[in-house]
Amino acid sequence: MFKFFLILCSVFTAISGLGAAQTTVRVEPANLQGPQPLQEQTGTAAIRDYLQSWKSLRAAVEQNRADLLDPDFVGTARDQLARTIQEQAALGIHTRYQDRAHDLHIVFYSPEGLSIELIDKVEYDVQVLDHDKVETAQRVSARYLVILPPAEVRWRVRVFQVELE
Amino acid sequence: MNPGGSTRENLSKAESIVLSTRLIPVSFVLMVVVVVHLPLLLMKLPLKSYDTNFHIFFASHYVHNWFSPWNPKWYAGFSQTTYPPLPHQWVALISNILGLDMAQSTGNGKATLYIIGFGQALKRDVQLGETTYFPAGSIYNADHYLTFLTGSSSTVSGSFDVVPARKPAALSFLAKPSLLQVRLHDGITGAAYVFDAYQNLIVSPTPISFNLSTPSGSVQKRTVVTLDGAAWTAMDSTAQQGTDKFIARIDKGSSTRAVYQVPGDPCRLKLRAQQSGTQLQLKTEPVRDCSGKAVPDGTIVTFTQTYNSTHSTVDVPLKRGIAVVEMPVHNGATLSIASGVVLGNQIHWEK
Repeated sequence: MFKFFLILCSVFTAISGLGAAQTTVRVEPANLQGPQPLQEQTGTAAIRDYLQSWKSLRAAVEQNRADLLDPDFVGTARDQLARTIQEQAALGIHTRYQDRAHDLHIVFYSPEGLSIELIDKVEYDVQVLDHDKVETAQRVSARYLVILPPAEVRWRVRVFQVELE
Repeated sequence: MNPGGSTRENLSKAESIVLSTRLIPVSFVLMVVVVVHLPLLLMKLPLKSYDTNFHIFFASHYVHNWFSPWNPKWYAGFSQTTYPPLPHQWVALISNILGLDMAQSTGNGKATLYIIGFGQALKRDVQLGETTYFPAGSIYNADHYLTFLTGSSSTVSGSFDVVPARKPAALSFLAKPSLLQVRLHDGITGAAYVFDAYQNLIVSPTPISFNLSTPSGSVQKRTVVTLDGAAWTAMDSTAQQGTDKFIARIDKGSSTRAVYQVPGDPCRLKLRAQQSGTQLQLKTEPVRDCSGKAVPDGTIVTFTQTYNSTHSTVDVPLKRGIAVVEMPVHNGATLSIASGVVLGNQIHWEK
């Protein structure tokens, strides 16, 4: 049904746009609820756009520029991240995130084709800077739940929130 | 036997017993206490021991409220006199010299508390040794948060997760299509996501009730429990045309979509022609679908006239169930009609 996902645990790497740091991406086979089969191109595009959204996210929270979120985030996720950026800017904080590994699993494709839901077990490094002084640096493992609706030419992130394992 | 020798030995033992009962000087005891505890205090090991934070908390209260044993931060208020007197006061006194760090505390200086995540960013100046409160609702976005406390010399860090509330408060409901033909099995689909009052997606299983109701009152019902925050269903379009209400409902809220059900494609087309002066009036019979229901107005019908190897085509929308057009009269012309994939009859015009 879905060649892309038939290759179990296919592993490939992507070069991040900012720091040229390597990010490992692993896509697990889709185990979908719902009647709508997910075409290979659709799944690949959704994952590509989601990974692209991390680049926007990294740049936005490091530069405290909410406008950088616009190409990749929409709705609740966009509003929430924009508020966080406002809070950071007001407090004189900025944060550097570097995603190290993504373990992705598409779990839902809505029957009308208007949303894809995926779970990302992500590992990332975060540095918190207060007025350019690094206050802490940590490596974090978390499981994020992401909902992507289609926009004009790409999938955009509408829900981006942590989920307990 | 040597009874005398035995007596001397007994005396000697008695003397040694008398010697061992002499009081140990207090100064020696204090010295031992210092020798044992000072390195532990310097290494701050007691800070990690059981119950320490509790006593730090009480001592901290005396630092700021020396004359009041009533601690309003414990339960709804608590009298610290229920504990043996003085230890907390001593710690409070010594903390003025050594700081609460050394006097069994996290210090009495100032520090900055950070709580950072994608969801929110908070920063507070805090007084060490005091409890820092965040009002309910301060941190409301479900996320993984880093928290760290930076003082003058050190940083202590940790993390925590904020999860969505369990009570559903809002729905995101997607339904498709908004217009479809009658009598289609599983023709209408809907998907819903459930959110809490702070717009966090609720991922714990939550029932959603889906209803599709027609103007005549018939209702299709399904209850679906969410998985990973999402639920979906499929419903049949009904036998009658009209506007149906498709509703997704949670405990205290619902979302409604209108679904317009229309007759299907034309089943057959019948063309009639009548000369009217120099024009030829072409007119369909009332156009119906295969179940006999009128095809909705606006459906496009295409009239074609072929004459001397040239084609003239006119697209006309149905109005009140029929389509009408006037075209120039040409003897020997062939007139035909089509709508979608359905072809009607042909007329060969000869006068």
